[in-house]
Amino acid sequence: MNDVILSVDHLSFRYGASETLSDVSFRVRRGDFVALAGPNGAGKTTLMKLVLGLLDGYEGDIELFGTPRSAFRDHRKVGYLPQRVNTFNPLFPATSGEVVGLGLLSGKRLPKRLDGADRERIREALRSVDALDLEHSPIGSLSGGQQQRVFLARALVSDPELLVLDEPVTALDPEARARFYALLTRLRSEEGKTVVMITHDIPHAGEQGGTLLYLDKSVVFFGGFDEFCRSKSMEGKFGYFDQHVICHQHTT
Amino acid sequence: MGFADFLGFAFIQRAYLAGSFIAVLCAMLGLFLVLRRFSLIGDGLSHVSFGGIALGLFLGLEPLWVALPISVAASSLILVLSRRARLYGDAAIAIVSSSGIALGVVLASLAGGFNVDLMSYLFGNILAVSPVETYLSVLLSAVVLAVIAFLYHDLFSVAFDEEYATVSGIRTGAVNILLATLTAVSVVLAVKVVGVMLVSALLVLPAVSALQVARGFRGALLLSSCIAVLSVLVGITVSFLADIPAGGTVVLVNLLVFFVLLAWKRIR
Repeated sequence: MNDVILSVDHLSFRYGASETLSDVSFRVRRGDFVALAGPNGAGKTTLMKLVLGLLDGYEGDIELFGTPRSAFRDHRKVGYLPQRVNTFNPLFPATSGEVVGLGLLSGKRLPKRLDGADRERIREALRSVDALDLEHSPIGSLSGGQQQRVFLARALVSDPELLVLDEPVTALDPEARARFYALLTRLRSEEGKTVVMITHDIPHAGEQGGTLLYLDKSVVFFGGFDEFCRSKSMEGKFGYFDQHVICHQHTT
Repeated sequence: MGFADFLGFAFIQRAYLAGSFIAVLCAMLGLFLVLRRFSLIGDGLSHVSFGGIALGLFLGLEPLWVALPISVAASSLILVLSRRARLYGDAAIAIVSSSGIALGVVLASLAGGFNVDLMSYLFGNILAVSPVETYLSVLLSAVVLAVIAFLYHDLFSVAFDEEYATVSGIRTGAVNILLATLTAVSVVLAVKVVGVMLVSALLVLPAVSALQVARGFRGALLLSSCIAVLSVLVGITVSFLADIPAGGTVVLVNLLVFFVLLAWKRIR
């Protein structure tokens, strides 16, 4: 059985004359956790948008579940948690339940309808992120941490195999951040989700184990966190002190 | 004259019927437009429809039938300018809007100046709607409402978060073109109710009124439609009884509802 869920080969992309990604290659296998990190402007979000089909015009190959990106139609297999602040209109009069229901549309034919079973799945997804009590609350009235849980429920409601998370902890306070990582741990250990997460929070991502993909237009480092801690090249990138802090948190 | 006599007039019945259908149509589309920060597209397309109406009058054709395809084409042009020419949406609307007005002014001048016909389209005259126009308004409104119902979840998804909708496999480009096309049809229909100058009010006011108090999206759609119909019915009635322009009265009633709900929200 082919257990490669995401395959990126020799991927390059330009915004106009500016090269954003250069010859990027890596594989994500079923059950992997990949923390995608790098400095601002390194191409992390561009890479994610190319994988998700939000950008076109690239060189190289992207395959999702063994299917070329351009031909991929099984959208239910991918759950996406965007950066909340970038994509969300807080004045939108939608309840949390309505928002989570959007995650069920991809597998439906027109005219798309949500039936009783779908409504139960919505409640189950909200329950799984400890947000069932928010089902009828307007999304704009919730705190940042609550909204994050509702959007995560939307990403989970179609029971996807791959979760793509774009800086999910950036807007969260320490308590909400800890709850999020605890939830992520459970999703991986109990439900076997494959996770690709853009993050600047390398120390906490490292606590999840898995793999670090450090990007700076091309792949600078791709390997386990233990390997990262021993890497002299990454010591040069982060500096001895920061690498030491990250690795100290990782090993304790 | 009693209220029953008033309701017995065929032109009042036609005004109520056509006005109500068009009001619901505008209210529903208006909610999508307002939430996507496209409120001004109605204003822009109404100006384009003015150019189309002037062209129709100039050529001696039915003005609204000439305005319809021109407005639909203009709605696509706005999207193309936004995406391909990398203009901000409001700049694209301004270009298309001013082009429509310019066309109208030039054609009106060539035709010997602004006549009564053109003025009636500028400020609307729902009380003069003909039986054929009533049937067409109801039919077109029903078609557009059916399309909205058919694509409700896709429209909702794109309105809430276009990026997520794309990841979900929804063809957001096609949805955007459809929304713009439906808006163009609605604007041309609404010209008869409130006139070119006030069309955007029919699109925007019921939606922003509903947004003051609605908790969910379905509730907002329903409330927006109810406010729009109420405003049209009250506006037509008051305008007839007080002998004042119907279009302006409908918009003022909408405005009153908006301020009442705004005040209620602040007190609550």
